[in-house]
Amino acid sequence: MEFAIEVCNVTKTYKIANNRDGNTGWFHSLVKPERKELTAVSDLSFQVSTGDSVGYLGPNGAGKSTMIKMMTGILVPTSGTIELRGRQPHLHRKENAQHIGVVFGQRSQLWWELPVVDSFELHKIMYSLSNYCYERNKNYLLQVLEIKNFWNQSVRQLSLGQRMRAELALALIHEPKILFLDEPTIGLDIEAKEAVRKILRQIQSERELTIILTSHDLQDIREICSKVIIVNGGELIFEGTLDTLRAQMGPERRLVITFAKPTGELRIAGTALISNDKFEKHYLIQDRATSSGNILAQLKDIDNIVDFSVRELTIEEIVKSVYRNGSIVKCS
Amino acid sequence: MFLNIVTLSFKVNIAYRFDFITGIISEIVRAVARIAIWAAVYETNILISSAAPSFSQMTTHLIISGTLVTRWEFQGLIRSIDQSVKSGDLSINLLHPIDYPIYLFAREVGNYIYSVAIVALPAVLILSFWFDFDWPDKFSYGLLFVAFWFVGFTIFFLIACLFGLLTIWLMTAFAIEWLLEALMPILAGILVPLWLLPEPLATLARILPFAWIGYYPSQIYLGRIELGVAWILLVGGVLWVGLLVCWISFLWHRATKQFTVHGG
Amino acid sequence: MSSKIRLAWKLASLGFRVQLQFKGSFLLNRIAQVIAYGSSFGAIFILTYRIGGMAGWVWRELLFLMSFQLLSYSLGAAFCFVQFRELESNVRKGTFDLLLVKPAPAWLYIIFAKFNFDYIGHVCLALTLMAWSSIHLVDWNFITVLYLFAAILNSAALTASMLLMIGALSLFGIRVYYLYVIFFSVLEFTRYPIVIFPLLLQVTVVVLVPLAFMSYIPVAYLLDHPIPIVGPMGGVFVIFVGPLSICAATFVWHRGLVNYQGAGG
Ligand SMILES: Nc1ncnc2c1ncn2[C@@H]1O[C@H](COP(=O)(O)OP(=O)(O)O)[C@@H](O)[C@H]1O
Ligand SMILES: [Mg+2]
Repeated sequence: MEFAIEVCNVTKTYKIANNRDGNTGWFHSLVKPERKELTAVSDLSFQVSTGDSVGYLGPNGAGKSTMIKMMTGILVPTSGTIELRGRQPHLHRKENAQHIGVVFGQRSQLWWELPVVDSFELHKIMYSLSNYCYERNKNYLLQVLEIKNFWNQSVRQLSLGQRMRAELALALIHEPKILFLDEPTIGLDIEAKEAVRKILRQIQSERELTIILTSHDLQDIREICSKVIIVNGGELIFEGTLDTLRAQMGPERRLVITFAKPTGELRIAGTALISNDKFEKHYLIQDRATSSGNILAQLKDIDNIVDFSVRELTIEEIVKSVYRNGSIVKCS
Repeated sequence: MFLNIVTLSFKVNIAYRFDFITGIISEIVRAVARIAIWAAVYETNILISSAAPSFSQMTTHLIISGTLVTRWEFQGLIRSIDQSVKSGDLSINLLHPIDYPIYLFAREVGNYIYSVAIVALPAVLILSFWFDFDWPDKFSYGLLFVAFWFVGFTIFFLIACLFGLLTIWLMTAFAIEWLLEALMPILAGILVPLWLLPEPLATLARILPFAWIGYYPSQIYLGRIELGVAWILLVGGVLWVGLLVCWISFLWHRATKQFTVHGG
Repeated sequence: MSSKIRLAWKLASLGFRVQLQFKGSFLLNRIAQVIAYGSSFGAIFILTYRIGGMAGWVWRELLFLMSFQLLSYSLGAAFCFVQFRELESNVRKGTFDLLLVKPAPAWLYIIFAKFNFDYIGHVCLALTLMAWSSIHLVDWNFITVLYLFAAILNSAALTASMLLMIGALSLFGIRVYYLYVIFFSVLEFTRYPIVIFPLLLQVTVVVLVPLAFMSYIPVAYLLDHPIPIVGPMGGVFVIFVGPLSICAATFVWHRGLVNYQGAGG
C-alpha cells in the first residue's frame, strides 16, 4: 500500500517567552528573557493512504493546526519525520507545493482588493500551469463551485460562503494530489457549511484527492471523511474508521428538553438523564436502537414542554467518551 | 476634561516603553549629524563676521531648535483628521461634548509633553555633556523662551491642522504630510538658520509662522534677540495663532457644512 | 529563471493595482515627495553654497553624494523596506504561513507583491540631480561609468539586504520595529561626508553597520576624496559588497525559516 503521508514519531515544541510580572519584569525579560517550552504535538505517528479522506479532530489547542503546518512544510518538526509522497516537506518546499493544496479557514489566499480572477491568474503563473491545464481546471471548478457569477467581483465584496468557495477553487487550480484544510467551515453559517461539505465530497470522489481536514465539528468529518484521527493535548487518542469510532463512542446524540414550569426528575426510556435542571434537562440517547419515533411517543404525554432538540455531541464530549469507553484504540 | 485627555494620551505613550530608548538614540544621531556639519563649517573659518554666533551658540541653537522644540510628530494628527474625514466620523465628532479640534489639541499636547519628557530632554541632556552647550544666563530670556516654546508649539499644531483639513479636498494625507515636511527644513530655520538664507527668502521666512516653530525660540534661548524685539515677536506669534485659528474655523465650517449636505 | 521573472512581473502588476486603490493620487503623492526631498537638499545647498563647502567637498560634490545616497537607498527600499517591515505583523496574523506553501520562494512573493512604486519620485529626482551635479565633476569614461553602475547596484543591494535581514529577525520572534529605527538613524549619516563625524561614528558606519559602502565610499572613490579606516581599497571593495550582503541576507533568511514558529497560539 502506498502512503500519501507518513508521520513518524513527530514532536513539536514551541519556545515561548515567559513574561515576568511586576514593574521591573519587562526589564528582566529584555535583558535575560526566560523561555518556556510548550509541547503542541507529542510523539505522534500515523499514515494516510493515497485517496483517503481523513478527519483530524480535536478540541481547541489540541495541536491540529500545528500538525497541518508541519505536514505542509510551514513548520519544522522538533523531532521525528514527516514524509509526503516520500519527501520531507520542509526540505522540499518547492516540489511539494506543486502537489498540495492548502486552505486555512480564517486566512485568505485571495487578493482582497482585486477581482477573484486575478488571484487565479497569479496561481496559473506561479504553478507554471499550461493554458490547456489551467482552462480545463478553471472550467471544472467554476462549475462545481458555482463561482461564475462573482468571478469578476472584488474579493472584498464577497460573502463568507462565496469567499470560501473561491478559496477552495484556488487551492485546487493546480490539481494537487493532497488537499489540506484547516477548519474550513469555521465561521460559516449552516447553509454555507453544507455547500462546502457537499462540494468537497464531490471533488474528492471525482478527483481521487487525498484530503486531510481538521475540525472541531464532528459533522464536517461525518460527511466528508472516511477515516478519523482524534487528538487531545497533542496526543493521538483515536485512529480508525468512522464506524469504529461509533462503536467506541457509544451514545452519539443528546436530547435537550426545555420546560415551561419547574419539573422534577423525569425518565425517558432508552436514554440516560445527565443534567437535571428544573427547566432544562439533558439526556444521552444511549444506542441507535432508540429511534426518534420512540422518543417522540414518550414526549407526547408530557404537557409542559416548551421545546426539545436533539444535538450532536461536542468534540469535548467525544473526547471524554473515547477516554471513558475503554482503552485508546488504534486500528488502521 | 482637557487635562484628562492630556494625561490619557500620556499614559498610552508610557505603555510603549521601549520607544524611549530608540527614540533617544535617533534624536541624538540626528543632532550629532547636524552639529558635525556645522563643526565642519566652522573649521574652514569662512564664517568670520561679527554677527555670526560662536560655535557653542550654534550647537545650542541646533540642539534647542532641532531636538527640543520641534520634537512633535505632526503625522499622527494629519492621519487622524484624514481618517475621520474618510470614515465620516467627522460629523459624529461634532456631537462630542468637547469640540473635536480641542480634543485633538489636548491629545497632541499630551503626546508632545510625553516625547519632550521621555525623549527630547534626556537627549538634550546627553548632548549637553557631549558638546559645548550654553545654558540660558538671563532669567528673563529663560522665561521668554518658555512662552515662545508654547506659542511655537501651538502654531505648529495649527499649521498641521490646516494641512490636515486640506485632506477633505485633496483626498491624500500622504501628499500633505510630505508637503508640510517640505516646508520645514528651509522655513523653520533649524539646520540653516534664517540669517544664512539669501534675501528675499530670509525676510519672507522671518515673517511666515514657521520661524516661530524652530528659529525664534532658540534665538530667544540664546539671548540673541533684544528684549524689546522679542516682545514684538511674541505678539507677532500670538497674532499668527489668532489668524490660523480663524482660517481653520473657516475651513472647518465649510467642511462640516459640506458633510451635513452630503449626509456624511 | 524566466518563470521567476514572469511571476515577479505578475506580482508587481497586481501590487501596483492594489496600491492605486489606496493612496489617493499617485502623481500628487510623488510630486509632494520630490518637493520634500528637494527642499531638504535645497537647505544643504544654501548652506554649502554660502559657506563654500564642507570638509573639502564643494557643493556640487555634496549634491552628487546626496543624490547617490538617495538613489541607492530608494532602489533598495523599493524592494525591501515596507515589505519586510510588515513581516512582523504578517507573521502575527498568520498570513506569512500561506506564502510557505507556494512553489515560489516566499521572499520573491513578498518583495514583488508589495513592490513599492512610491519610490519612483525619489529615483527620478536622484537621477536628475546626479546627472546634473556630476557631469563636470568626474572624468567620465568607460571605466568610471562602469564603476558608477556597479556601485549603484551594489549599494542598492546592500541597502535591500540590510532591510531584509532586519525584517527576517522577526522570524526568530524578535521585535524588529526598534531595529529599523536604529537603522534609519545610522542611515542619516550616509548623506554627508563621513569624515566630518567623530571617529566612533566613522567606525560605526564603515565597519559595524557598513552603510558607508552605500554612498560615501563609492562617491569618495570616484571623486578622489579620502576614505577613512579602509583607504582607497574600500572603493574597490564596493563591487563585492552587494554579493556579500546578499549572501548574508540569504543565510539569515533561511535560518529564520528553520526557526520560524508560526503565528502564536
Ligand atoms: N506560534 C506559537 N507559539 C507558541 N505557542 C503556540 C504557537 N502556535 C500554537 N501554539 C500553542 O500550541 C498549542 C496547539 O495549538 P494549535 O496547533 O493551534 O491547536 P489547534 O489548531 O488544535 O487549536 C496551543 O496550546 C497553542 O497555544
Ligand atoms: Mg487551529
